[in-house]
Amino acid sequence: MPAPRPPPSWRYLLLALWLVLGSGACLAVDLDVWIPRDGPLQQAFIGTFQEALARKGHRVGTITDLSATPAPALAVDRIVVALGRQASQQALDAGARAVLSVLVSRRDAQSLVEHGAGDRLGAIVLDQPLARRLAMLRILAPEVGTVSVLASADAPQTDDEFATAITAAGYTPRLETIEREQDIVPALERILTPDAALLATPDPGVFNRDTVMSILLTSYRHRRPVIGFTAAYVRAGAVAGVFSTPEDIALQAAELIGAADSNGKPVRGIHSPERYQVAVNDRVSRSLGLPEITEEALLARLRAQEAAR
Amino acid sequence: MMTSDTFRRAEGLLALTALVPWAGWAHAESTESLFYDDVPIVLTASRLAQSAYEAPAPVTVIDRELIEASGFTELHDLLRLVPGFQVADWATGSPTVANHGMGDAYGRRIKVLVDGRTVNNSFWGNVHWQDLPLRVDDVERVEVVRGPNGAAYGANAYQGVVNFITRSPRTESRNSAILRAGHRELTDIGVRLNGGEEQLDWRVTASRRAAVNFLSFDGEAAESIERNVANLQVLLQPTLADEIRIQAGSTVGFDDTGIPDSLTEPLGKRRIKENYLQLGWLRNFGPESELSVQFYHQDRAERKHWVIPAGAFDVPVMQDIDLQRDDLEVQFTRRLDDAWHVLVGTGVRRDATRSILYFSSDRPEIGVQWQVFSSLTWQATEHLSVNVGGNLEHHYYSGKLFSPRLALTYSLAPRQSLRFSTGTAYRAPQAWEARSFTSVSFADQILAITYWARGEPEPERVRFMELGYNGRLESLGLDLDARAFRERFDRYIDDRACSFPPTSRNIVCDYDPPANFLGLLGRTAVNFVNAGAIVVDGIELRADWRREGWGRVVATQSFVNITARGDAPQDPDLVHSAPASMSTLVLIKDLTDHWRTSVGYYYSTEMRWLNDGDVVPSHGRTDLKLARLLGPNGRDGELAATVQSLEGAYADFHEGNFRHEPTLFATLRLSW
Repeated sequence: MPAPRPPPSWRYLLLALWLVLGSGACLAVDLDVWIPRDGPLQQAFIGTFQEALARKGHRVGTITDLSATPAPALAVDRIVVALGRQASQQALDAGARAVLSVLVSRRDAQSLVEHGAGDRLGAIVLDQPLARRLAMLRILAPEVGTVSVLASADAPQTDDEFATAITAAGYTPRLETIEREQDIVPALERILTPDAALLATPDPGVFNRDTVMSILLTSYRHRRPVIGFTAAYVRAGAVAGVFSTPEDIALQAAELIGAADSNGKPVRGIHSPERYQVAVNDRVSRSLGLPEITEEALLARLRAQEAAR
Repeated sequence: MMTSDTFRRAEGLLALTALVPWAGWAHAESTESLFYDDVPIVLTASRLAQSAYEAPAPVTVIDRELIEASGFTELHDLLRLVPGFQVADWATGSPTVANHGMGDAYGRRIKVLVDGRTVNNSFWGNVHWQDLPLRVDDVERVEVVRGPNGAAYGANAYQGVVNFITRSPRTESRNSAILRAGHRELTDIGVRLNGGEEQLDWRVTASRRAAVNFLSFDGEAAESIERNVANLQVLLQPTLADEIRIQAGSTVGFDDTGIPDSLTEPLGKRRIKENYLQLGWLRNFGPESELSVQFYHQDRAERKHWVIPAGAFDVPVMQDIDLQRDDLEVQFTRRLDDAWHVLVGTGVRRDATRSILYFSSDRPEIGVQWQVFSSLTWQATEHLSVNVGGNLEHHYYSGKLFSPRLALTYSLAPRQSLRFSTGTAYRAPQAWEARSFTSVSFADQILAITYWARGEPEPERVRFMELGYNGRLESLGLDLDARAFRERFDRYIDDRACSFPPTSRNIVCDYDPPANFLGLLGRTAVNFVNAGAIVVDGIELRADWRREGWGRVVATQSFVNITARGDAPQDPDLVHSAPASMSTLVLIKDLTDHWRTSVGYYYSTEMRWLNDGDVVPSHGRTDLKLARLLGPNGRDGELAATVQSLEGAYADFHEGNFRHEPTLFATLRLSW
């Protein structure tokens, strides 16, 4: 179940007031970025984020590399855009007035909210909406009737949430929960029915470096498609995946900040990614006898469907 | 040499490692890495389809990322990444590999497989690493069992098992071409083509490489090689439950090597040809229930001819050898219920070896052996797993052998386990040690004898026990593998040289030469006997740390202490045949989205290779690779520069005879 939204607090009201009254010059002073380390992903995010902010007349104050700054300064009365769970937690602990957490999983964002950070936290998660993933499956493999999900206690959604989304998309849900990694293959054998597709999820109890290839090969042997959640999964053997790049998330983060600045819309709550890309493994797609479609065409159809809704 | 005090301290370190309460750190604190991490291509290849945390033996996996980062272009070099493994090369033979001691020019105590096909040859027992119809680019990963594993693989899985898992055509969708060039005439050009339709996937690769491996050092042999390699892999899935695999490959090439004015190793080309055909069928009956049937044929031919001037006559020498192996194996695995998992299998093999030089006969030496093997895993409690395995075989030289193993695995937490295992394994003598009669003859008269295996030595035996820890600390991005072991080896097969009278040498043979022995070219013969027993105590540590956006660090350390058992005379170098300490460090650093650098450092203390080898002093070697990934996602190939041995020339087999020179080469790989 999603966490209940915490009631507004004085800090949130202050933030909203500041966002309504603030100017670009104020943002330039008060908006900081905290990163867990300086890597290519972080650089990709920051580069796009700064560019997008600049177009709105704003700029980032300071960028703090937490790996080089073991004890970051207190961030009281600051707005911090934090990359990843660790940086988000540290920014919250440092007393940041508001934290926009990006490049985090939904599970981690929910965990931060559940630990009392809801009034100061907004998050753009990396998990794609189930509806989007299922819509992609519909385009890719029209004959699929059942969507199978293998979950552990670490699953990003509850069984009910999975079942509701899958049913709403017009599929029959087939869910199995496992307790041990050894149960994965037997469980797969049960849920990979002849009309099923397997929906891979960012569930570390099921999909991790040790298990992914046996899952992909078992599914392949059953000639059932796997929908991945990263480009790496697609390279490894999933038929397709929808995912957001750091640049996609950066653009959305800049819009969220900009929107808050102009109309006071809160930088709060857990937001799904709005921009996304798709990847298709042509080899697997051909092997499974699926209709041919290019990544560009798939992306265009998916975006058109979402725009029409 | 490591002192006993050092050894005890190292043992204490392992004990501490095992006792640290890692269990509390087991679960990931953040899951964002799931979205960033690359996904390894993992194919199970061990007989026991288990992860390293559940495996009844110590396993090191060298994955594709590490293979690429290492900059190694030859298969044997990859084993430098395994704790305790010693790798060396020499100019007049194939590279050799040993695991903590007892290594010589013909490394034959480690069983080496390629996709389950045993590639140790039946004459020397070693592996002709550079001749295998397989390139580093074909390897998806290498699974290495770092200790005896006779229970699973039978005789000669004595110090370890190395299994090269090739890249599945199913997981490759792009074609690629590779061009490599460097100084000392290094050239390497290759192409990989993939294709597939519905139930069929295939891949064809072809390459040609040439290099000067050794320059002449101090008047000793130089070596340059040329290899042309092609291989094919086809996967068919006619039904949902069936998979058929067809693999074939061939290597044609030569070694240009030898010693000026030598009678036994003169300058000249040794021509080499290797072929294989491997067929496999896999039938899936349900969850963890599979039947596999595998057949393969492989053959090898070596040719080198020269003439020995003997007074008024010229004696032609044909150093020819022809090897053939046919092998059939059937294996069945089934999970009986939540607690019991069983594996049974059987196999039969025929080896044929023909060499007029080494057997003094053109009659092929033929041996047929069979084996049955089984492994039973019982999940006794939620945390404790018990594995009992054994291999019963009838070897054509050693008769019936039974190699058992008992392993207990205790799960501390998900992906963390303690392991205790004990068992026995054997190494049967090779044709060289059991049947060779190497002579130079003229007009039915024997002018010289070199190897004369006069009896069949008993198989070498090792009894082992080990305690290990395997764990992944998700929150730190760290994988740890640590173990302490004791291996008691006996019946070591050694060669013994003696001379036939009249001789001025002090070791006179206590057996008579053949009646037609003239001995004009030499009166010394070498026999093989069981002569040696040692205890090897060791500690191995491996840490594999990765952080998204930063890179990866893989560090290994091994400590080994060898002591002689008993007072029987044996090669005094045996106890020095492993470095007391070996370390490796591989650092992979992402510089930007498109630049990646990696550094490999390999260090070992002084040791002695046995027989043809000699002292190798303490030395370190540093390799450096800088790569520019091509294409928007870095998937269109790479342009890389690699330097091997920044420190300069070094010896790794025989300090007085051979030196590895530093190597610099550039690689261009394009994918489409």
